[in-house]
Amino acid sequence: MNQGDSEFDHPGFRRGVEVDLRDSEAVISLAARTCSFDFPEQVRSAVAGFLRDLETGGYVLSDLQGRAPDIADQVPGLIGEFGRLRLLTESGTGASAKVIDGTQLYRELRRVANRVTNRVASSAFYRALVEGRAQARQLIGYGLEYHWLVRSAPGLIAPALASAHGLAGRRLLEEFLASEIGHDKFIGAALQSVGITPDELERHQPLPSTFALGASLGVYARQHPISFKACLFVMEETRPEFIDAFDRRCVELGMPSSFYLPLRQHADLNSEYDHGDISGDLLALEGAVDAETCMVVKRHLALLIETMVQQEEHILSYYGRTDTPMPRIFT
Amino acid sequence: MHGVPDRPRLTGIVRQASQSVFVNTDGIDHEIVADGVEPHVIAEVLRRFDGENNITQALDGEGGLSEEEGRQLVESLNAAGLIDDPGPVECRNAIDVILELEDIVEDLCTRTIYQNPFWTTCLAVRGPGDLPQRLATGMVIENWHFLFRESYFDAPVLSYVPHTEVRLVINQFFSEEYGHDEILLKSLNAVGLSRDDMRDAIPLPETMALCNALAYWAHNDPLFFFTTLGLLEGQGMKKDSFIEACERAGLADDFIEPLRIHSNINIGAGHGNLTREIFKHIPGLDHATVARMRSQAPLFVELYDAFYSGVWRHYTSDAPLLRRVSEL
Repeated sequence: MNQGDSEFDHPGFRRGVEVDLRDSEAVISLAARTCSFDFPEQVRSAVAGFLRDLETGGYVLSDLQGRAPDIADQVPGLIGEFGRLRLLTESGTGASAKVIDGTQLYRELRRVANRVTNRVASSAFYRALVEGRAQARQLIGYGLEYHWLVRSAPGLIAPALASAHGLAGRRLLEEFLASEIGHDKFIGAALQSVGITPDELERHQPLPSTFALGASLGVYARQHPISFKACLFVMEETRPEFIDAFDRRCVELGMPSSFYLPLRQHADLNSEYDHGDISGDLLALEGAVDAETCMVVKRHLALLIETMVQQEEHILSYYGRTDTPMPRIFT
Repeated sequence: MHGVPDRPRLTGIVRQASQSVFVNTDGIDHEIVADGVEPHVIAEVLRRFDGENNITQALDGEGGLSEEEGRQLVESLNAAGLIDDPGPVECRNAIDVILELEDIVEDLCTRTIYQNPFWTTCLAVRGPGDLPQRLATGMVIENWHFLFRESYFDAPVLSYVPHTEVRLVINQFFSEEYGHDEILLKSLNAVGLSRDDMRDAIPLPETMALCNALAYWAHNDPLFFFTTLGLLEGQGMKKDSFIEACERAGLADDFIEPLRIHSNINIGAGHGNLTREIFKHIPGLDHATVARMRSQAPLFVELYDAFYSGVWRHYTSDAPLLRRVSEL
């Protein structure tokens, strides 16, 4: 960003610029703005060629100089002056990389999610449930981690509201936020039925992977809202077979229905609000998404899914031990 | 699933079996069955979903499927994730949008900031006495408050995620801006204001309004924030009219020199070109973003104009030069 650099890689006249080339003067105008410069008659053809090249666009500064050797020394100064007067724009094709709309991005994201999910593993927790390996402590641990995410959700979502600039997007996020408020009560009640006190629940520190999920969503909501919107569908997908397996395993282990029923109620509540397609609804409002943004979003989505897989493994391993604090309270 | 594309493109490979048709994508076979329609008709139509043909063209000559059935087929394929939309997206070249925005802002400035009594006074200075020292000092005080708080509005965009090149440019800019309040402090020292005085000082409400408006946009609408930088950093400016006014008014050189140093750093580093430099790296802007930028531009110019009005009002009055926390 030094002043000597041309501000455009391929300077070209903006649309609407008119050139009036006289014997020894060129007048360049755009709407009410006009600039003119004088030149010796013997370089008139070089000036004409140079101005034509700017009308055509697509040349870098050294090309413009090479194509008009008689005025090569004056070219940088003229380009600088034309730029200052806003007569030039970037005329190269490099900047206009592929742009897609939000709905097409969502199509691609669903496929990315499927591929990543298939690659990294099926649900370790689900397998432990259906194979009868999950122990009561692990089921309670699952509830504790789930509770932390649910109670954190409104705070993670809310920052996205400030950058929702259109009415439709704002409404969707407001309704989504409203539908997430207070859900921790269900899960809190479930955990109290297995002996976790409200005070313990408040002081429980999540597992690192649980915290990473919350922190990622919260940071994206502030820092890269389109990533936040794109990641919601994986968090909100209802998995009825998981809930059924969870219930069955709780019954097998003789755990009270007051523990597993509220978890089911919460899952039912989520499907009532049809959260499953919140990402699709929000991304449909994105008119143009450039290639780099698509890449960043896909990276974030893949990371989130990997972290969700890690979280299930961490719940199984951490709460599978009996020598670790549960709830995780560190003083 | 939203919006069915006008010119759908099938994501998988079509395979015709005796009773049905399969679309294979990512190693998974999806069976397509249509009652009363021969598999070879379905297979042919599916093969024509290549992103070039619209639905009518894909059905052309295949009598077994009506237009409505063809549309339903595409909707089902779309819901199953077997359809892409390769069509072009309506968006604007970002640098063209910025140039138009500069036209708008310049027009607004002509009617506001350039008519502001602070600037008309500066431009009218012919000799000693035409620019009161108190007014010049006031301008530097408020500028110092602004630069002292630059991290409030630059920090949120240092982590700008969407475009790497933009993040690099803005980080370089911040590293070049860092400490500029210290340069202006030297000017203030020359007129008897110390670091402790300035730590005790309260900016004018218009100055703080500008800082916080910029911080709000930097947090919540970074693209719009980027559009403001060109004007703030003296876009298209070869020299600083305020410094020239100080020189013509014959103000002390130890007051002016730090201002000159600061101005030359900004001009030399091309900070006036910052907005264009940033938007050069942003490929396209959708219409809603463009409309939002255009609609907010006047508000920004009003805030900036109010900043100069504040300087004029307070520093031409007989109120104490510094508004101090210790005197609240």
